[in-house]
Parts: sequence; C-alpha cells; structure tokens
Amino acid sequence: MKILDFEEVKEILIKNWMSHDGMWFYHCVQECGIDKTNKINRSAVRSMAKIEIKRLKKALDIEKIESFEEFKDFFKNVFSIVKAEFMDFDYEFPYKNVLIFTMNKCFAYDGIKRMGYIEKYNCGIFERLKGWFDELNVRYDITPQINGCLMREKNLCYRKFQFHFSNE
Amino acid sequence: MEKKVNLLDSINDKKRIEILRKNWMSHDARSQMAIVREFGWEKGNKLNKKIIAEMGKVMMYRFVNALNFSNVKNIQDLHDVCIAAMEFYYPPPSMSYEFQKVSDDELLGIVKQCAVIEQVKRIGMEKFYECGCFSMRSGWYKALDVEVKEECLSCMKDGDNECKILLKVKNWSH
Repeated sequence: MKILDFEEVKEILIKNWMSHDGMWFYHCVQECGIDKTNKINRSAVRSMAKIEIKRLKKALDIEKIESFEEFKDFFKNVFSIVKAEFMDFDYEFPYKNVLIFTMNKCFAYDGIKRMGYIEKYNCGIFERLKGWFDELNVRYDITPQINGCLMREKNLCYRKFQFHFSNE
Repeated sequence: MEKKVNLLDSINDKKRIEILRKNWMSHDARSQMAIVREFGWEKGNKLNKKIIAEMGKVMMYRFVNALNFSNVKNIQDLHDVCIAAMEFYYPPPSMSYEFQKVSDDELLGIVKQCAVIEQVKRIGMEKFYECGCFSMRSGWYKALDVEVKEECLSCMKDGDNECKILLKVKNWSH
C-alpha cells in the first residue's frame, strides 16, 4: 500500500469530517424538519468549536489572547491546521482589530442547495468562528448580522469582525 | 531584537492530525447529543446508525482510493485493509484492537479499548447509547464490495472486558 503524507491525510480527514456533518444535516432534516435541524446544527457546531479551540490552544501552548497581534498569529496558525484544499475562503486583517472573512465558494451552501433545503438554511459556518471567539473570551461585533444565508440572498458571503481587546 | 516565535513549531504533523481526528469525533458526538436533547435516545441512535453506515462507505472509499488499494480477494486482504483503516481513523492509544484470522472466510475482531464507550460511560449513558461501529463497518464492506455478516460475541458496553466480533465473509469482491 502507498504511504500517505501529512497533507493527504489531513485532506481525507477534513473531507470526511465535513461529509459526516453534511450527512447529519440531511438525515436530521428528513426526521425533524428544517427548522429543528437549523437549531440542532448550529448548536452542535458552536459546542464543537469550543472544544476544538481549547485543543488548539493547548497544542499551541496559548493561555490567553490579550491583543490583536496575538489574535492574528493564533488565527493564522489555527487555519493552517483546520483548512483543507477544498475550502475556498480568504481572510484578511485590513486594519487594527478588524477581521474580514470571505467565503468565495461555500461548501455548505453548495451541499445544502443540492439537498434542496437552501431556501430555509440558516448559516452554520460562522457559528464555528463565533464558538472559537467566545471560548477565547474575545469580544467582538459582527456585521452583517444575519441568521439566514448571505450567499443565497446576495450571491456573495463575508463577515466583518470588529474586536475589542481590553488592554488596547 | 526579540525573535518572533512561530507557534506552529510546537506542533508536529502527528499532533495536528490527532487534533483533526478528535475534533471530527467531537462534532459527530455533539450532533448526536443535540438530537438526543430534542428528540430522545431512540431517534438519536437511529439517526447515528443510519448516518455512520453511509459515512463508513465514504470513509473506506476515500481511504482505499488514496492508497490505490484494489479489491479484497481473500481473508488476508480483508485483514490488512481493516487494520489499516482502523489505524488511520482510530489509532492507538485511545483505541486498542486486533484482527485474528479464524479461517479462510472468518476474522475475529477484538477491541480491548474503545474511546467511544469510555466517553459514553463517562457521561453515564451506556444504558441508552447503541454502538455505531457495526453500521460503520457495514459501510466499509459495501465500499470494498464484500458481503460480510457480523456476530457480536462480547461487548464492553454490556460489561465484558473486550468486544469480540466475528466477521464471516459470504461473498468476495467481484
């Protein structure tokens, strides 16, 4: 058998993770309807994100994030671990205390559109980031404030996070 | 001048992969528990088994495709692919297992340590939780195009020291 390198293993694991999440969504809709599924999906993502970021903090030997510079370093490192090739998004820090996160192509939007539930889908993608930031105890404002799916409504998707660090 | 330290230097590739695996499993567990909270264990177990059966097929397809592994022709092939898939998806030390050849058509899977059952016991839900591993392997066999019947001989969830599962091959890959 062929020996897989780190990037190949990472790609398989993240693809499977996202497929598994998609299957939960699909079967949950079949059993429970879209409204309950949106609620369950977002709750599961948010709760997983808190555990996820705790593990990453521990592995990266980070106790607290107290400044924007620390946050930027941590965020970049986190994404070098959790981002797979098939995920088409960008993020930038255009000025101090601001993160703009743009989904160029959203795998959740594509998958749920294929399932036929996009008209009632409430975004679960940004719940992951919110779960991270809450667990990191980082205060922020987010715009636009939207529960639904921006890709569905505007054919584009982004969020702007304005952070408030206590010592800055 | 202070040297900037790259945080990632402290994590090797093995650790990164371990974090991804754990986070995937945590997400799966939280999806099931969110269903259980809303609808109870019956629906939570039913959905978990249905989903992991489909997921098992995807897991094995992706795994054998990545390895350029062709079809399973005999018991040794089945042994090798099962062990390799277990080590890829559920590596030690959180899981401990072996597969023994019993005959030309039978393998005995022995699980000595199972992270899933340990977690289920930790939260005191072993009376309610139904194992998903049988469903997952049913997906593996579909991906491998082998027909296998499994018989559970002992189970840690029910108080046994280890899980013993007999895998009987009914039809090999075409």
